[in-house]
Amino acid sequence: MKTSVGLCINHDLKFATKTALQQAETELNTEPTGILYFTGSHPGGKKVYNQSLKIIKKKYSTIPLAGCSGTGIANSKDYGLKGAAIMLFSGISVSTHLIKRFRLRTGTKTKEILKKCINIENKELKQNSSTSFIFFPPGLGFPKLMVNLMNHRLEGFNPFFALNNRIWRDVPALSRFTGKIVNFLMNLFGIGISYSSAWPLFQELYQRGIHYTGTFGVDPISMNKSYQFYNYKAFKDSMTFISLSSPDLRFMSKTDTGATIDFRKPFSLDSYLDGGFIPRIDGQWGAKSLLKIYEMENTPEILEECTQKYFYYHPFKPLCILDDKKSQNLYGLSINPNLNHALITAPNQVAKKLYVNHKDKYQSYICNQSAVTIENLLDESLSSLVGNNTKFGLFFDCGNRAMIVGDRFQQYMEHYAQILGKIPYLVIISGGEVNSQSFPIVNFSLVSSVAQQLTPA
Amino acid sequence: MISPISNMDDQALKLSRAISSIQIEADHLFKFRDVRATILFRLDGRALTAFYDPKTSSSILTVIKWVKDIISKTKEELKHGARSIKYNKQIDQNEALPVYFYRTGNSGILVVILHSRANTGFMEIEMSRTAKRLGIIIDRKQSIGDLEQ
Repeated sequence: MKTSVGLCINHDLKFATKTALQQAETELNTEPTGILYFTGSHPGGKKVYNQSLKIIKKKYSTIPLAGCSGTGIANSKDYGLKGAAIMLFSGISVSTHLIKRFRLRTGTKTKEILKKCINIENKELKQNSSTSFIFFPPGLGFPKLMVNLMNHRLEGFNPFFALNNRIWRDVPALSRFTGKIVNFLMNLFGIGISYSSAWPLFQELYQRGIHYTGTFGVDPISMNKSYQFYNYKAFKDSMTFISLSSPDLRFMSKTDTGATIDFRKPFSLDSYLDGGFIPRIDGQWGAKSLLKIYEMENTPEILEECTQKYFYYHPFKPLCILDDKKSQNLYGLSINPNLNHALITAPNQVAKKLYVNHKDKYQSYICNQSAVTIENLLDESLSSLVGNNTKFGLFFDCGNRAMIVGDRFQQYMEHYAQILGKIPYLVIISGGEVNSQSFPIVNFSLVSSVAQQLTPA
Repeated sequence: MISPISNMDDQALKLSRAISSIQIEADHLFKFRDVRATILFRLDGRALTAFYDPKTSSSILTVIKWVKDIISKTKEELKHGARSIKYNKQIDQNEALPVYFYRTGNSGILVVILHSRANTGFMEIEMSRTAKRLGIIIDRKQSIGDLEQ
């Protein structure tokens, strides 16, 4: 069993894939059984991705391939936002699957995926081998016209802030369904899959104890659509997943947030919360009471600055832990001081569960992430996973976390290389990461999955 | 026996390779949509390479002129430990361009001028990467191909 990694940072995606493939091939030396392919986002879209996939197809036409486009990629040697990365496997049985138009009929498609997963799992269990799935669901991406409008300070066109209208605030009956309407519109117009529509799939996988990781591949810079790769073709709005299985390997995974609780005083949300829509906190309108909690009543400009764009990270952007300290369900809070509302990135199911359990009052803690805490936590989390027997590692790092690290990103990547040493690994920076170890879904986190050999060679 | 002329040719080849790899790295950064100009300065304030588009607006030239004036001040700060410095240059009543100064090796400063509404969080990743790579090239006079081997 052997793995190798190749990575090249370049604006020309074809050139990048060529050199990345050469690097990986020279390390491996044998015929691979499976390929993982990741890229940074490219404005060219489907055409460019297909052209670059053809380069790999020329050499390996029958070997299964899967992957997705994200925001950035990193390796022990280099890191960057534009380029391509390839991971080659040999000695592992790999199979890839494609479910087209996942966004339109999520209910029936999840059953399809579950059937396939359980069949594979049962087959492999008979041969005493462990399996792990890597999912690439379609991520959030706005059309170019909408992004251009949003960049020119017309935030009313942002679907999230459009919901902050007076109609939604003053009519309490409407505010209950806002989250559902947002999800429905997102699925209908192909903006992407939200967490709440992918929820039932990951819930069932979690309950059955199936090992999985994955990314949505959101690119918060340009808001380009994320593309999924399946057997040398690029798809959008579809789900691809890859299964890795081997009798000699054991797959392990973990999530870490690296958040510290700044404001220890809990606050209560005393109104219906659906789809992350909070009209009232502590008996007051959302924005006003939140400003009080942050002790920023006199400086609303800072919050205005950090909530201008929904997905963009700002050092003062508040994050909150819902329900419990121990579970660490981290979600982003964003409020618009001009309008009296707060939004949470939590999926519908989380909000509903909280409402059913606590009815009128739930507790939540406000916390913050900083570059220092993220770097320190990397040491702790990886040291428990990585050992002498580890064969390869895959890390899905949240794009917002990368923004928090900012100027210290170089040190952050050197930290990875120090811990992992000569083990081949890839870091994929993208929005939206899922893991079988952490359910309900956590935002602003690092998902790390590592394969260990059971009998040391 | 190696003749002195051929030896000189090798050095010239190495230098030309290093210069071309510097230009490739700076161009890679300039191709980002958020970047308006990338300039690599020597410590004495002389520009080695510059990528900018004067056709879009003439305001970028005034910013570059301001950068040339201020670089002697930033030089001393960058010498004493600071990795990077950020300034905001006001060009309009409504618009201010973020300007980044990066230390590149022992004898260079990378200056990057971004758009007013650029995503600075993500651009910092690319800027620090190019500053690191340019630093290695300048200090050792190596090309990119030598680095990767």
